[in-house]
Amino acid sequence: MPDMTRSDAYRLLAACFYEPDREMFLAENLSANLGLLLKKLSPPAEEHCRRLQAGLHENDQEALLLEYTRLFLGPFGAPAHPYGSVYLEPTRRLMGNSTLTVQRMYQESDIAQDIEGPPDHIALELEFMSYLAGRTARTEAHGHTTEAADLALRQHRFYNLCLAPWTMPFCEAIRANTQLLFYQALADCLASFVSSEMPRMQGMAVASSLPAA
Amino acid sequence: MKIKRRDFLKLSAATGISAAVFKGATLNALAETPRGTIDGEKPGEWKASTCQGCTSWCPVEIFVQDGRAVKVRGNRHSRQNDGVVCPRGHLSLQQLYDPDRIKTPLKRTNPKKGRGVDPKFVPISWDEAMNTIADRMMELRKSGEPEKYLLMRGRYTYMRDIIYDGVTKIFGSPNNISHSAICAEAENFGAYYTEGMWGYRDYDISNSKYLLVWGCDPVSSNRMIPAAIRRLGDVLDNATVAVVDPKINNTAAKAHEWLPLLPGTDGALALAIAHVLLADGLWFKEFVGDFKDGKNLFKAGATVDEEAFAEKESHGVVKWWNLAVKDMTPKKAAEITKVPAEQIIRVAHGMAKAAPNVAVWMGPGAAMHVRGGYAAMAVNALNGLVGGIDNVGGTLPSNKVPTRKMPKLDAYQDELAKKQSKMPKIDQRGTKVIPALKEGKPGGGVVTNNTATGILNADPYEIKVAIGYMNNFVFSCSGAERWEKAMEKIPFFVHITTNAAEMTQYADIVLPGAISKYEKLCWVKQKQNRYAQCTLLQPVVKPMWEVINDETEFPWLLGEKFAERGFPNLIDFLKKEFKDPETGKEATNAKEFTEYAVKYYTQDMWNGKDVGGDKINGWEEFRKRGMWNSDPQPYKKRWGGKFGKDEEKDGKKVTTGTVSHKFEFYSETLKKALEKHAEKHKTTVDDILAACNYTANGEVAFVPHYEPPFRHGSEKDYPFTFIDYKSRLNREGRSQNAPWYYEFKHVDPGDVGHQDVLHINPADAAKLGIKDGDAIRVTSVAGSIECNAHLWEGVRPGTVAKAFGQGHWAYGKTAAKDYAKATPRGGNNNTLMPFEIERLSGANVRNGGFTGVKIERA
Repeated sequence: MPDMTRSDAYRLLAACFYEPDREMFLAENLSANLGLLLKKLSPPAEEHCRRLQAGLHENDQEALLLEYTRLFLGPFGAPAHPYGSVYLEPTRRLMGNSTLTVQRMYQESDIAQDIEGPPDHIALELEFMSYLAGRTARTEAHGHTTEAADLALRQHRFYNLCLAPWTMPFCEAIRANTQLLFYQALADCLASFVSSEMPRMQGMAVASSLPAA
Repeated sequence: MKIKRRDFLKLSAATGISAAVFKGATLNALAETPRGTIDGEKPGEWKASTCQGCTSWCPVEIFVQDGRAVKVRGNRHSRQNDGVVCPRGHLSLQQLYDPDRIKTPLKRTNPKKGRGVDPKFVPISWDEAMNTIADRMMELRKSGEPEKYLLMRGRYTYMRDIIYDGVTKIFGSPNNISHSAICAEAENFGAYYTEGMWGYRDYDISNSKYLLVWGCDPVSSNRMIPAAIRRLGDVLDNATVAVVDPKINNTAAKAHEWLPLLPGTDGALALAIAHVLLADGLWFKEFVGDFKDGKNLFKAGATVDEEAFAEKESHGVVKWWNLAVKDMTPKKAAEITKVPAEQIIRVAHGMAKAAPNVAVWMGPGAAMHVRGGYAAMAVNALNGLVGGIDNVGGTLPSNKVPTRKMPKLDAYQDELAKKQSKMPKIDQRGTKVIPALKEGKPGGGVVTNNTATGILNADPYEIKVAIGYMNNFVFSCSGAERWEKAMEKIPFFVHITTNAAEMTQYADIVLPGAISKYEKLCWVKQKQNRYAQCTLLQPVVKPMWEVINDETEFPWLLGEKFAERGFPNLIDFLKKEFKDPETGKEATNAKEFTEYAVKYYTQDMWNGKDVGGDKINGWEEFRKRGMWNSDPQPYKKRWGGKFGKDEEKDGKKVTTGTVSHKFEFYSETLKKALEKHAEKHKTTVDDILAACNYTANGEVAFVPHYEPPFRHGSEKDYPFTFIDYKSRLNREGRSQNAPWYYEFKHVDPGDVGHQDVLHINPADAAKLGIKDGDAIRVTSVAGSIECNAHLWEGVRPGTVAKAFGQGHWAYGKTAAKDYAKATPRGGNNNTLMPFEIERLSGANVRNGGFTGVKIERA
């Protein structure tokens, strides 16, 4: 059931980009569980997950929250804005055409945004990939192969058009601007996992009889 | 952004793969939904709102497609801007979609405050933010000192009364401080003490035969920009255009005459033009009157008998001549101003030939000097001499905009509030050295920049809690460094703002403000082209985050929190006095309150009442149109002795406008105000003027006259005179985080894209060995900045000029070079210009050559 594993991996990674709640992250074994998932999907990321776990133990809630605010909220110009358009649009603005592509793809999959902010936030994009992968797994389990192929195609399109193009510069922005172990490791985890998805996406394209991106 | 569901963190595998398969999706920020509209399927729509990029307050329409604002144009119904906008209108899109905007309430966790000190902000909920603010404010009331609360208002809409008066007075503080004195109060002083109007003038330039622009650039600033851009070509064809400005500006570049006077000598130039008009018998006699026997007695240097002249619409022209004009010959003025005498004569004769279809368009450059009050009067007096006041092609007041007044709030003030809100204000207005004579009343006007003095010296008392909205005084007031120290001293400061800026650096709580043009519901009024307007600002797009309408939603939320703490007066006022005028219902939440309040103020323009102007059928139509136009302003409305009037109020005679009811060349109105102020402080008018840095004595104090420029820094140590001007891309200081600001910076004459430049005359640069583009350090008595040199003939030798706008050390990623190190991008003019005020009006000084600078290679 690789799609369900991938779905979980996307979801737990998405959780890491919300306002940190150390107690909850620890209680739910967030980094350890992510490590288990990525061990299967992206073996090099396992080490990054160990660092993520260490970071969660090493950094207290205040340190995590301050760093989250500084990196992603600013307010004096966040060094690693978590919105795709900041990296994909020529003028570093929100709600660019790339953002509307994301929004349209949510709509085409009968998904509505249930939280404030632009739709191309990293956590939302990861959650959407989690949703598509989970739905793919479920439709396959029910033997709905045509729908599963369509969902695989959606994953392929969203990954290539929306998520992958800005993940690397975003992770680089985090790495270049934080000394905190948790966020350093998170950037490495995300970069490693998203890279590892490339061949799987190509595989989906082949399975759906699409030219590989 | 918080995780809403704990199971979002759980592994599907934890419940077994097959269970996970049937469980369905675990979502947090997304939700499954029935298929709705897909982006791109529906056409976009033009939605009406208002641009607040400057004080033209243009009615606009915004094209919204798929929930996104993509284009801006003028409102098609507007008689002010004819359906067009200026560059600022478009630039606002980059403000709306700026990733550096404040997205959530924040609280400071580092108690230390200062430049370069990380406030260590962390996100908090709205509830925590409002509880904290209410607790801190209520502590003041509990200890009987509500006056120690201060509201600092920046740019506003006309919903301002609610936060400015309503909250402040019901809470019990006198300290509602507006930004107005850093805008152009000295300009209003000039208009009030000649024509009795404390306000900005309208200009009928479509019908002008002579347009004399003084100390501003109408196509880039000064309240009717799109209209001026659209009309300037025709005006140049149909009229003579002359521009008085020490540096060349957009209008000057196209004008027939450019009069590059020495900074601060405006009064001398205006008097010399007046001298020519009078000595050559060219004044407009239908307005000013004439010598009884028809023989012109105005001869250079000669005193004239007042009895020999019969005035019509004006008052005191002979006194003015005798006291201030007779000796200011073009030759003398040429020595003072460096404008050639023949050019002065040519301009005066040109104006006389075109009279009365002449507009003298006075801007802040003529007025915002240390001694600028009288210069402003002198420049505006020219409008009287040529009869352009209230006349075809001249200057006009505004038609009335029939909005309602704020309901009375006295009944909601308790004894503490009634008593403490009458205490002296923190800006020290009305003290001996700061008369601030707004509308003839000592202490009647705000002294914005002096608020820092009050805070620093705890005089008349300390400030313990402050709120600022839509402002950044730490950057926008001259002597900016004083504000840094003042803000460090305030124990609890709340900043409601769209973007973190220098003032936010000192905030304890930061609240995300809405972008007025796109996200707020409110209204403003303005006039252009003879038409007054009331125009709505509307939420044309859904805000990306939970941002707040500072002037209405914030007071409502605060009122609710006060009520929870046993002080319901504010929320009662808002509920009971701002009922929906259509249904009579009380508001139940902040958004309803906002709509009811806007409806309350504007109802007479859409409820069927005959108020003239556009006929609008109901609130929905008003929202769709977005605006109301008045009838055209009639000409000569105040002619016939209506520049002032007396009324009985509570058994006393109250004068509004001029005391003589005429246009005053000898200002009885200023005389009365100054004498009242002197009497209050048990001294003489001469003593008051000396205390206010003026040189005039005796009767000269009551007429427009020449005062030599006041300069900080000796010419030996600071050999260049600094000129500050405004970029046509400044959206009231809120566009510096937009990349287009830098890309298009060259639209300011002499400026260079992607740079912050000081204009230096090539002759001066050669002496200094400075080349075009060199990095330079500019230093005054107040401070130093670094920027680039640009060699340019548009400033005369000995003067240097730089646009205000850049130099942010705490802002977004585009505007500040390195926030962590507090390194600015470019230089802030207010670091160079020392704290100084024009004391008669309370205006912040930024013109008039008051800052000497030296220049070195960086």
